[in-house]
Parts: sequence; C-alpha cells; structure tokens
Amino acid sequence: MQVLSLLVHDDWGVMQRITAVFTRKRISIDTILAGPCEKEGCARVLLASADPKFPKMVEHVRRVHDVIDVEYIENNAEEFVLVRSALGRKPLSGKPDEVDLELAKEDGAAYVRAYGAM
Amino acid sequence: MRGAKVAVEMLKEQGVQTVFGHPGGAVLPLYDEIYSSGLRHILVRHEQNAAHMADGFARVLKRPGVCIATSGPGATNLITGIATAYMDSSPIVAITGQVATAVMGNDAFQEVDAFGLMMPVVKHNWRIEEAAEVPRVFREAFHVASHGRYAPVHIDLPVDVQNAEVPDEFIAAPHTPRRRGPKKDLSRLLDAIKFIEEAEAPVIMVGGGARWSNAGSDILRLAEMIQAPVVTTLMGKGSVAEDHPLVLGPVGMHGKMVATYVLNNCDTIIALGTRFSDRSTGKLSEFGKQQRIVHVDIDSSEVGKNVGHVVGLVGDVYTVTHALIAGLERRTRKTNTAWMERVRGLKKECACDFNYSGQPILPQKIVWELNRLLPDDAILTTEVGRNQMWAEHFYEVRGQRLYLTSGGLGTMGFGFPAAIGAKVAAPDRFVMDLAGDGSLQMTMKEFATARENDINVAVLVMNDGALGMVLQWQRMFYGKRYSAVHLGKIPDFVKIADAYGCEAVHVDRNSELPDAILQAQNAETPFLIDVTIDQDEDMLPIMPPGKSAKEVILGPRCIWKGGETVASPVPARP
Repeated sequence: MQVLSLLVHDDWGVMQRITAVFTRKRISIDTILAGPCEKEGCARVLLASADPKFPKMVEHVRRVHDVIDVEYIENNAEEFVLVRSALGRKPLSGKPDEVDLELAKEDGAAYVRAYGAM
Repeated sequence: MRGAKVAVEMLKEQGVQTVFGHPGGAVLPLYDEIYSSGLRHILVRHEQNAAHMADGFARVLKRPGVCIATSGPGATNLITGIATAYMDSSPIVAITGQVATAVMGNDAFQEVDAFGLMMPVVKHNWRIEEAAEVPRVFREAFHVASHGRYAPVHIDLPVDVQNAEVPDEFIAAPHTPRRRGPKKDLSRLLDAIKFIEEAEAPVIMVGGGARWSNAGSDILRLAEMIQAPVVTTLMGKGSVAEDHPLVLGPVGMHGKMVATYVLNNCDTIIALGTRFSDRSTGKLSEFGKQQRIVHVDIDSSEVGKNVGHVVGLVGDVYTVTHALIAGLERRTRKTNTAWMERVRGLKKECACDFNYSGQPILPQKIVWELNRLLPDDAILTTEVGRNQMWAEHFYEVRGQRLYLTSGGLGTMGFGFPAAIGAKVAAPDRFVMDLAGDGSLQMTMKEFATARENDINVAVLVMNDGALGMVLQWQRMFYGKRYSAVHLGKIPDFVKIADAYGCEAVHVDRNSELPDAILQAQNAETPFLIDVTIDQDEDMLPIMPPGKSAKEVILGPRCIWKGGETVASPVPARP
C-alpha cells in the first residue's frame, strides 16, 4: 500500500478538489484520513491506494491550489499511525503489534491510526 | 463600502478597464456599481461568449480577461468558455452571482452549485461567504490566474455578500499571495545541455507555453545557435515567426509533412511549453521512441505525463530558453550541419503552391488570399473544424500577426466571440474570424454585441453547407454513412448580418475574394464574407486518429514524396 500525506489549507471544497484529481486519472483511493492539524487554518489528509500509478500523482496533487505540501510514503505496513509528539509529527508503520508497542512509548501523544487498507 | 463596490474597486486596482458579461438577479448589486464605475461593460447575448471574449482578450494582451454572469444558468452557460480557456491555459477571472448564503443549498431560484461545477475547469475558485473576504479573494484571483501556468479562475459571489459592508481595514490590508512565483526545477539543465550538444539532428518543438511567455525571438536564437529546425503545435503556431527559414510550420494531425517528418526522424527533441497532445504527436506509444527528449514546461505535472523518458526542466519557456542559451553559448557553435542541409531539401519538397483555382472555391485558395492580403499585424481567429485546420496548415503567421484558436477543448463557436475580445484588446488591428457555417451558427448572435459596441471585426465563412470535419471523417473512416452532418444552405448569412445592421457580401468566384477581403478591412461595421466552398474538398494530409506519423494519408494534392528522396547523412540513434 502506498500513502500520500498532504498538508492543505482547510477551505471549502478542498477534499472535492483532491479526490477529483484521482477520479480523472482513474485511480481508486482505498483509504482517506483527514482532520485539522497543528497549523492554524490547515488540515492534513492521508490517502492510500494500491494503484501502481499512485506515486506519480504527487505533482498532480501539488497542482491543487489549496495543497501546501505533498509527501509520498512507500508503505507496506498493515497499520499506520501518525503521532503528534513534542518534537513534531512522526509516522509509524509496520505490523499492528509492533506499531502499538512503539505508540505506547509516545506516552499519550495525539495520533491518528489506520488499519488494513493502509 | 459594500461588497459589490469593493469588487469593482478591486477590478480597477488590477488595471481592468473592460469587462464582458450578462446581468441577472444575483449580480444586480454588482451591476449597480458597474453603472457608475467607469468600467467599460460589454453586454453579450449569451454568457458563454462573455467567457470566449475574455479569453480572446487575454490571448492578445497576455493578462486576465474578466467576465461576469449571474447565478444558475448564467454560471452554467459560462462553463464551456471557461473550460476552453483552461485547456489552452488562458487567464480569465470569471465572476458569478450566487443566491444569498441564507438560502444556499435549498434549491433557491436560479441556484446551482457553481462552485462545484467550475472546479474541474479552473485553476482555483472561491466562494465568498464573508464580505470582508472580497478584497483578499479578488487580489488572490488575479495573482493565481496570471502566475505560474496561466489559467482561468472563478469567484462565486452571493448576493448578500455583495450588499454587506466590508470593513475598511480589509481593503487596506496588503495582499500576500498564498503561493509565490512558480516552482522552478532546473536541476537537470546540464543533462539537457549535454543532450543538445551531442545531438546530430535536433528539432525544437514549440507549444502554447512559448506564446504565453513571449519567447519567440529567444527560441529562434537558440535554434540558430544549435542549427535546429523549429516545428510548432497548434497552440504554438505563431509563437515563432513563420517566415523564418528555420521554422518548418505545424506538426500533428493536419500539420505540414516536412514538420511531422522531421519531428519523427530527428535524434533529439527540445520540447518547449507543449504537453504532447495526442493531436500533435499521433499515437503516443509510437512517439519519441527513437529520440532523446528535453521537455520544458512551467507545470511540473506535465513533465512525464504523456511522454515518459524525458529530461524535464520546470520553468517558463522564456527563462529556460535563456538558461539553455547561456549554457550553450561558450561551447563550439555548429554551422551548416548535414542535418540542416537535409532539412532545407525536405522543406522544398513541402513547399506546394496552393493558389488553386476551382469552382466552387477551394478553401486553400481562401487562405492563400488571406496570407497575401491581411496586414502584418492582423489577428486571425478560427472556429473549430476544417476551417481551423486549413488555417493551421496554410496560414502564415509572420510579423506581428496572431493566430488564436481553441486547440485543447476544440470549441465550435469560439472564433467569433474571441475575435470580438481580441478587437477590444487591440482596437487598431484588423481582426478576422475564419469561420465555418456550422461553428458560426453557434455564436452568431454576437453580431448584435459587435454592432452595438462598434467592435468592427470581420468574419469569413467557409460555407460548405455541412459540418465539414465530421463529414470528412464519415467519408474517410465510416464508409460514407453521412449521419447528421448536412446543414443545407440555411441560413442566408448575408441576411443574418443585415438583420444585425452589419455589412456582408456573398462570394462565389475566386475573382471576387480579394475585393471582399479588402472591403472587410475598410468596413465601418462588423463585416461578413460568405464564401461558398467545395464540400468535397477534404482537409489533407491527415494523420488518422490513433495512428502514427508513418500512417499519414497524403491525398491527391500533396506533393510530399515521403522524405527519403533527400539522402540522410544522419543515422537514427537507437
């Protein structure tokens, strides 16, 4: 599974714009995670897909005016967690047991987690 | 100051003097402000044409044109025009009214989700929900439209926002754009220079990006430096002066044989500001297999999109061309290469005399007369179909001439309103729309707009009584099963022009053509020339859709002998 991590302006229609890019390019997004983030007025969006064309979408997503940054994460893990710690945000991924163990070390930091599809 | 007034003030701040539009219920406050604003408002007869006019205006001045429509049908009517501009990277700021925020989403009268509908055909759009946002959004809109890759943008402006007060501090607040300047990536410049240096048979392929960045003379300098012929795509036509000896003309589906041949038989392609449209390349899987390709584009997502295995340089054509020139300047210059010698020989084989005399008049003859009679600063727009392709193939864009056409979306009806927009942008230049009878009927209501506003454009209708390009494809590829392509001799275009108070003439003989064209140039009103042409004359040569450059159908008039008659000193690079 491959993951795109996006930092976006939290404006009207931003998800519509992002998903439209994938619809046009005939790529199915398997998982979407979205929520407000540490920067005011911004949000983070995590997209995952198994489509082989998915990694090439970085530049196409970057074209969306609301998108501030895009990062491609190669990921074959069964579980994915994005932790917000005192040092900034940190992605954790791997087998569920291992990730949960790592997560426990973060000591109560805020995080988002996705299983399976990622 | 209320939202509508601020909107108008923002337009003026951006240097806008003319707007194209059509009023309606949801933009009444805005039009109330336009009344006393000093802005020139050109009232169209259909909103689609307001977008085309803004597009034509932008293509001439290379800065955003502005169009305004009301909510609901006004917004949906705009979409074709906006999509046309989007495909050809033309900057437009489109403003639509919207129902009041309190009833939004309730299916109010003339409500449509214009924000959602416009999204796929604009670079960005905004729905303003607070009057305080008006100054920022308008400034941002102009910035987005005219920075990076040019494109249309859209502002959805609810009627209550137009009436609400904007606090002064928001108007005075300095604007910081969300994104500064386009992202450049010249990290592979040295690879590109190496490719160009090693090339024995280079070709420069020029697309629409070159025109938007006004890089024509710089490209020619580069071409002279590396001894490379220059070919153009449909959108790139006119970005380099076509009377320059290194310029071979258009490539693609209806391109010149020499250009298409040279592009497919060179060893290195330097592609400047083109997105490798299927209409330019033919079958994509066959294109560029033998060649090294340097791809320059302002939009990073274009690099590698249609053609892989390229050395990509991200930046505007002007800047990158200068970077290439600077990089190559200190190296040994090539003079009179074997490749150029061959290209010159091939060019002679493609120089046919298309001054045909035929009855009915042949379309090539019309373009021949236009080449001869139009001034060197004329602006020629076209509709879409065979008229467009005859112009692409045969019209010579030299001097300050401009050629405006709907290349990406292929919008029939584009040419006439675009000509009106172009004439507004350049009132002292002669503007002609080369039309077909099918296309013109889609937008000919704008004769009223042109007449009312004294925008004296000329329209030359190549009248074959049919949807010519479709007819030709049905003849060539569908076994002559002519399905819904015959228009007959309805209407009488001269009477149509007359009804709108415009002058017009019929032309049935070759000898009457020059007079009619000169008459159009001196007319005191918009002028229409209705030329009856031969319906059976096909636009040839043609690279059939989905086929490669090796499978071009030449047709009986083409004098091209296949390119092998001039010996090749350059072996193809594997």
